[in-house]
Amino acid sequence: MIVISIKGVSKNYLIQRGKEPTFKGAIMDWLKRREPFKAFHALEDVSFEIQKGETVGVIGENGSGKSTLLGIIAGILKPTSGEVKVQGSVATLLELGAGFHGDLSGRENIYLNGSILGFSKKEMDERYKAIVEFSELEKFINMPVKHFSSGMYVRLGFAIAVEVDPDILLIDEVLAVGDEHFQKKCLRRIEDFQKRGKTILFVSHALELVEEVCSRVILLEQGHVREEGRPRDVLRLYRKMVQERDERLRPREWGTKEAFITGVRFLRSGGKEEKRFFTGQPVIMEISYLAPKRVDSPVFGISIHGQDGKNFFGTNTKLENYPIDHIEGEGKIKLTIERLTLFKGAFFFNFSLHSQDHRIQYHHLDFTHQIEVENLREEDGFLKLPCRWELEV
Amino acid sequence: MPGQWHELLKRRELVKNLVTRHLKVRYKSSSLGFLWSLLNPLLMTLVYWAVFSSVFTGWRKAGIENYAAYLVVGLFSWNFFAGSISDSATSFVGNVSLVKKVYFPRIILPVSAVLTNLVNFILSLVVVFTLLIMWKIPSGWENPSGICLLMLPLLILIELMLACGLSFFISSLNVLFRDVEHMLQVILFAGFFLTPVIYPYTLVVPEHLRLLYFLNPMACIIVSYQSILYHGNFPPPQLIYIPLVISIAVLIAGYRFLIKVEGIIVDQL
Repeated sequence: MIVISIKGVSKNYLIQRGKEPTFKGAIMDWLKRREPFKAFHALEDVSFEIQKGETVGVIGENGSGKSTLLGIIAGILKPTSGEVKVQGSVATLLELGAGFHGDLSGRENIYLNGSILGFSKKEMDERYKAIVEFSELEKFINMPVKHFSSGMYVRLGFAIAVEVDPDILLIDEVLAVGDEHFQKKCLRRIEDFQKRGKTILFVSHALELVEEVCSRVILLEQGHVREEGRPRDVLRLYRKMVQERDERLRPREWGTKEAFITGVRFLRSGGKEEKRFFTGQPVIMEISYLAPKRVDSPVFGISIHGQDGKNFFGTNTKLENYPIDHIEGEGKIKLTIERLTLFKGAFFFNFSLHSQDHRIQYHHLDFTHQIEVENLREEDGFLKLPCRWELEV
Repeated sequence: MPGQWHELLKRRELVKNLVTRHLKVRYKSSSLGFLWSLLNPLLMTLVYWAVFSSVFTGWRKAGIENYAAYLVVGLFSWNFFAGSISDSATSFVGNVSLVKKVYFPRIILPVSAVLTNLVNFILSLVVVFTLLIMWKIPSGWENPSGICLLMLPLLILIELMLACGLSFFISSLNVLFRDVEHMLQVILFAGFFLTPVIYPYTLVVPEHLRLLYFLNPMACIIVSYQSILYHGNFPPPQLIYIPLVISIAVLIAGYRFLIKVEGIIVDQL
């Protein structure tokens, strides 16, 4: 029997530009005739089905849409398009005591949480003892939960979610917090759940746990289902994906070191060192080098990369027709970018020192330096290009 | 209009728990606890009484023998409304973790904010009555016209519906525009003076503006409270009809608005 059926589900968030939405902002948007919202596609055309009794893991990098998916199944979020069918009672394992109130005692919070999940006082009375027992918080149950540790929060949250005994249990990234003893206890309870034919949907970064517990795994990548199948196969693919990405961006330093770059400083036009720049501002890079012996016609180069390692721009002294006869000993070379045309984001700056014909690579600094760019205007993309509109009638 | 109304009834346990939570938290956090919710309007009464009883001398002319008693009636009834509205502003914004992590009918949050204030108001009525009896006001209660007290539940219901309806707008608008909260304080401040809490309208509002004046349902409601509790009279029927019609309309419109923007609210929080 299919208990969860997701058909072509997409979810777009409308992100307001700027920080918090305000009337003032809305009026400014209207006056300046700019679009107040920017769509962000958290999920795109996701489809799958889950049979009764399955334990399905959902994995993916941060921002891949895992929590959005769980929110849609729980009924918290409405999908922008597509169809969601869920059969049976659903309990969400609340993330770190969502719905707990710090000033209320553990006992009061159990009843409050129970009623949030849709249970009456009588039904909670029946479960109260089991919840306290499972959470092992007997001694603290009359204490305001703001004095609880994060582990205790999770224990109480988990105890409530499992004791209300739903048909479908949604777990969002929480088990990692408790101590080992409690984690084992939770796992046993999850196994018990599985044996009784209940359905579990499990979102986690803890890959070992996913492999151990799940009968099937769904891998999300940027809002799409990238892969779906047996835990071992999907996890292998996921680990490879993560590794490849890390590999690409690992900070590296290499070269023959006949001459080398000893340091780089990013400066504003006034000469002040800075890690954050604004679009349109000048950026000055001061590269210090050391050549223990004389090196003839060296070439200094830089390249700019995005967070995925993609190269946006690269140049060197040769391309810019700035021949250097030779270097010897310590020195500095300065590169000025008149106007930084990058948009908001974090960017890697790579530096290189090599011979005229690229045969000898003296020194490279890859992915070791990063700057933040802020854009005060509302523009899209990575890069600003000088441009001009003209209407021809 | 089934849907959330129906669910609201089904989830009354949650509403009850949220209201108790609000009350407990409010009273636990200060040593004087519940006393504060009485002390605050009483001290306000004292301030207004000190200021206005010396500035204005026309009270007696307007038929007000005991200005302090007049103030108590108006201030407590106004505070129920103002407290509901300003609490409802944060009912979504202040419960982000709840709204984003669990499903339950969202309407429960503003409703429970208003109901918390209702409970507070009803408890504080005990103090109001004690003071009125102490001051022997109104003189009319001893004679048969004391039956005008039967109007009180209806009046509270009208104010409750109005507060609920507005709370649906305010709570969701404050998610979409976070500065609503700030504007609200100014609007409530202005509303306070547009409502005859500290002055008798007969003294201040010119005859030809009264129709306009009483389009403010709170003006009708406060005058009705004053006529029941202070004067011991039945309020003029139009001061019941007008706010009754307006509050039902606001309640329905607010409900529809909330249902419509519910999805966006969850995304925007």
